[in-house]
Amino acid sequence: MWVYEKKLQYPVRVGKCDIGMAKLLLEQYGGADGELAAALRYMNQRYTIPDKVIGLLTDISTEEFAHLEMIATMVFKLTKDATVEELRANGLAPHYVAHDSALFYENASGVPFTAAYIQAKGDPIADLYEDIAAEEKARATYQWLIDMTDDVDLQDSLKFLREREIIHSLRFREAVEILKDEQGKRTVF
Amino acid sequence: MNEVMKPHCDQEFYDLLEKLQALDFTLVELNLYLDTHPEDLNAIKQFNQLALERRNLADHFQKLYGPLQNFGHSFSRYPWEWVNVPWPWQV
Amino acid sequence: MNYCPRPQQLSKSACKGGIDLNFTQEKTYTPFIGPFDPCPPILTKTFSTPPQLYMRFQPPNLPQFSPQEALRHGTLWPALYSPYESRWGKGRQTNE
Repeated sequence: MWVYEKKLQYPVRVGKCDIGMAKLLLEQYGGADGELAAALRYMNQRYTIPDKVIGLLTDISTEEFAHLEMIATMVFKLTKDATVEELRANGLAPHYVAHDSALFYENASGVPFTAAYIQAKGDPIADLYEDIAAEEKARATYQWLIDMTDDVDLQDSLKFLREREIIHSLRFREAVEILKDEQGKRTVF
Repeated sequence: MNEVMKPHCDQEFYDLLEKLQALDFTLVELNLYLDTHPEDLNAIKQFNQLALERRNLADHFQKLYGPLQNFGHSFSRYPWEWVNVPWPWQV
Repeated sequence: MNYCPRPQQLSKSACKGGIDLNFTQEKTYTPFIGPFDPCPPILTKTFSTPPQLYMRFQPPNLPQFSPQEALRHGTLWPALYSPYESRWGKGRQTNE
């Protein structure tokens, strides 16, 4: 069961009408290392992982959905007032003919989201190492997105999201430490 | 729109919203930390204290600006407020 | 403000927990430059090495940001904060 809260995790301000940036931000919406992929990956892996780390996967997955909403907010704000000419000039014509200005789970190149992006191997270490890699790839994607804009307001929200990948990566690394810990030795605390 | 509801665009709204976001964010951080440090008593005490502060601030916020949560986790005045206050991507 | 300065400015004993805080959050390398490269070379490349790489398991009782500062930094703990600046407008960033 989930309960929706009518607020963003972090304020999203977009200070510049840069419609091309909306297209690039889709990489974190429906891309291989995006927020949807992250949320679905962790929420699905949690059923077949030791009880000690189910809470962590559940909570990080839930936070990823809040990040998905932040990305959607950025894309929506950048496209809601765009004319068809502006959409075409910014490479969004293919998107427009399929979706008008609706959001769609696709990456920056327009490739639709697929479950093939995410894995559930059933082996706790394999799954957690994939999760750590996913966080580092998402962190890198945020860096390259920050590089692509001079809008300091947008950069601010993207820097928040980049930092969250760092914390999630640390927590997954700690989960590995917990699972590899020898019974009763408690070397990690 | 209920006449006692305050506007969702004045500075007070954004200030209060960010205060709530800050408290909730600290709770998220402590929550994830405790998921891998379940025996840190200090962090649990801080978590419980902030959860209490969060509840009080959310109550205050909702009296001014309407419900935050669906499915009975927030109250409503007349008419049904859930659908009548702006969504997060609109403010 | 109740928090430590940036990790790379700290000595090992500055924050509790005995974690190694003597690290930089950015590393550089010099890529190969060929005699027939068509474009002016980028002499130095950089990449991020954020704090989670240097902390195997977070020690308890690390100094904290206030809630407001935590939100703005994206983390509750200064030791885990990682700054990143946009490369937009910075040109080739060759080594002067």
